[in-house]
Amino acid sequence: MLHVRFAETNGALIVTPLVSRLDAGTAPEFRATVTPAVAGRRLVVVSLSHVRAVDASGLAALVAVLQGMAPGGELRIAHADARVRALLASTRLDELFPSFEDATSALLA
Amino acid sequence: MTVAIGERSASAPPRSLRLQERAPDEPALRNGARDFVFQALATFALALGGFYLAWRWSASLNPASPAFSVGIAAAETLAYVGSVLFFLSIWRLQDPPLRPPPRTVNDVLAEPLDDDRPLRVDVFVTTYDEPVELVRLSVRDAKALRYPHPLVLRVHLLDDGRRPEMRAMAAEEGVAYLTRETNAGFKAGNLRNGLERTDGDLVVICDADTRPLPELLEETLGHFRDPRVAWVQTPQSFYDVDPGTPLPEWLARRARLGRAGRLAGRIAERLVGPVAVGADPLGTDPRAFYDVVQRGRNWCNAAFCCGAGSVHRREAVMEGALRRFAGGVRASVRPLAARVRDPALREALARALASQAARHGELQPYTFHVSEDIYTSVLLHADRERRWRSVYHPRVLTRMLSPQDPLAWSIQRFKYASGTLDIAVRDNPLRRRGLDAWQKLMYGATMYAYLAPLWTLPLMLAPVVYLLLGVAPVRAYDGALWAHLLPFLVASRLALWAGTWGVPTRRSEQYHLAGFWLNLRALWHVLARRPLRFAVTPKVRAARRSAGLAVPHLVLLAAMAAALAMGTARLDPRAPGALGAWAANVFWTLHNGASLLPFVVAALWPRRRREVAP
Repeated sequence: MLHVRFAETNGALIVTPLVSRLDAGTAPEFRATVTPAVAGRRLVVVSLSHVRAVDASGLAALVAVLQGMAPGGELRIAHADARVRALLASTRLDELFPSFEDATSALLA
Repeated sequence: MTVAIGERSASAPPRSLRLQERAPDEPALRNGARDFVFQALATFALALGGFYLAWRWSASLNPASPAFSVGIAAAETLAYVGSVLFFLSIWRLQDPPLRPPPRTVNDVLAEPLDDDRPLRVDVFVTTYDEPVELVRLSVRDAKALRYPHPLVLRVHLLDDGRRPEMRAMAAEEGVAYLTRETNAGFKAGNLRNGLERTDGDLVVICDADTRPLPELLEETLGHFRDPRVAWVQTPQSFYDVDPGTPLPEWLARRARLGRAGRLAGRIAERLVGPVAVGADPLGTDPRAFYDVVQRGRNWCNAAFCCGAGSVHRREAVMEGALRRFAGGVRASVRPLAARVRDPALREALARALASQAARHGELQPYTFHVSEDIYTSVLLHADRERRWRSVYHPRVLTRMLSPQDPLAWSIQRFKYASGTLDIAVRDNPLRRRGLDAWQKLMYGATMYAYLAPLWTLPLMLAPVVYLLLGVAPVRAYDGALWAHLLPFLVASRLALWAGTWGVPTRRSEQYHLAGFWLNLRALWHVLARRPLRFAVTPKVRAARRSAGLAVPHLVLLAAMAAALAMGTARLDPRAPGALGAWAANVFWTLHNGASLLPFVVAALWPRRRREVAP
């Protein structure tokens, strides 16, 4: 069972997957757990503080999460390390998923 | 289902032959000598062809019928361009080096994991409306895949038909059953649904009737040791193609010639090699395509995916999908955002628009298109950041059912033709940055081949017009014509022979002509921008006859017959050059008519073959 921590701040949802890899192995469950929780949300922050590696399937799950949010909703990423940022840049998803130092700065931006 | 396959001997066992019907063909032998002989003959033939065309345009146009003459010369030129592209596309045949099967996932990754683990492989068996018992065969064979190292193998039945009986069969066989609410994206969408719900490092794609041989993974996974390899395609091979009757047997029994016939047949086979009468009536044997065309693409990284019988690196497919998705979002946001002057405002607007665009975008690991396989291949080959590689593995490792009747054949061929032409019209690989010159040439040759009726039809009509009306496309059928044309024809025949050595091509050549109507319809369909339907090739024989499919061929054959009668009746052997002109046009008419016949026969008298069943 994949564990995800949800926290709510001023209407925004902070989602923290408690796994070391958000990849093909964990993406299907992450998607199935998180997508229902974000329905109607306008701002979701995915905190990768426990995650050491993300692959394309993990990012695809984030796309699915974004598509499940309210129209015009925004998905921001916190605690992305250099490799995750590099993958975001190389897939050009960095514009869609702005990334921040931590959840607080992601919420304030 | 999860099978953890234990450690086994790594020595590759001989190919298992437990499937019924005929054994898969070993790929024809290739070596440097073949390449050299072919290249020499091809160069010679193309030079002679250039020489012929130069003369044709400068000295042979018929002033008495300028439009007809120019039209036919143009068709000849288009055909020549087709030969140039074809010869270049099979210039070098190269097989990839075999590498030992990877032991663990780190053997196939550029950046190894800290905690190494066995490879995970998903087998996707896609189905929509095929019979349960047919699909069961594929599922069972997929479960029986072997591997010399520990491996997590999961078989998934991807049913777009949402059928309870399919679900029950999956449960009986102990494999996963995946389905979805809609059929969005057809097969590509079905595959996406599978990718979203599974976790294999590598994914094997099987159609409903694709029966993998046990050694599929043992032989192909080694290619993924190169972390740039995105997919491996194996040849598709039909286990139910009619092998025909050997010529001596046919002459003795069917032609009722007895021993004399058998002897004549044996002598003929001594001279030209084995001849099978009535083999592969629909020309579905894909060996010429796989054994020659795909093999010719390995050396320049242009072998494309053909769907069933391929193995894919999940990360390549998913990453490519993300990049295209993000590119699509950007493209729809940029023009609007660019109008805003204030930078802060512009960024805020861009973000809002981007998330809006992303909601409506589709992540497409396999492009939602009737030719999703070739389209996805183009996109991955053109990925300039990753430079993905493809491998064509020449040994047959899966077997499947051929189109069962002329109707199924037509549906499948129409799908290939319209899909490829649609890509050419909407998103031409030749305009795509990221493909190198050879890759463009290879994809260009594939697209160009589907334009064939633009020249085959005029060239089939030319002798008919001459015999019927006496209008000639050349100034004269004289010695100068033969001196320019015949060396080219002979040399290109020899080059083709060398280039396709060991592979049957007669049916392909016949269907190159007989496919004229189907390809013409596909071309018209695409140019008229009609929507492409995703038709599933029927896997069971249709009860109805398919005579209607042969109407254009029958019309053409009738015209040919009339032309032969008329031209012969009108022949005045004493007029200078008349006999040669008559003989040449009769020869071509008979040749073209004979090429149309197999399809007509198949359409009018569908043969009852054994149904392939467990």
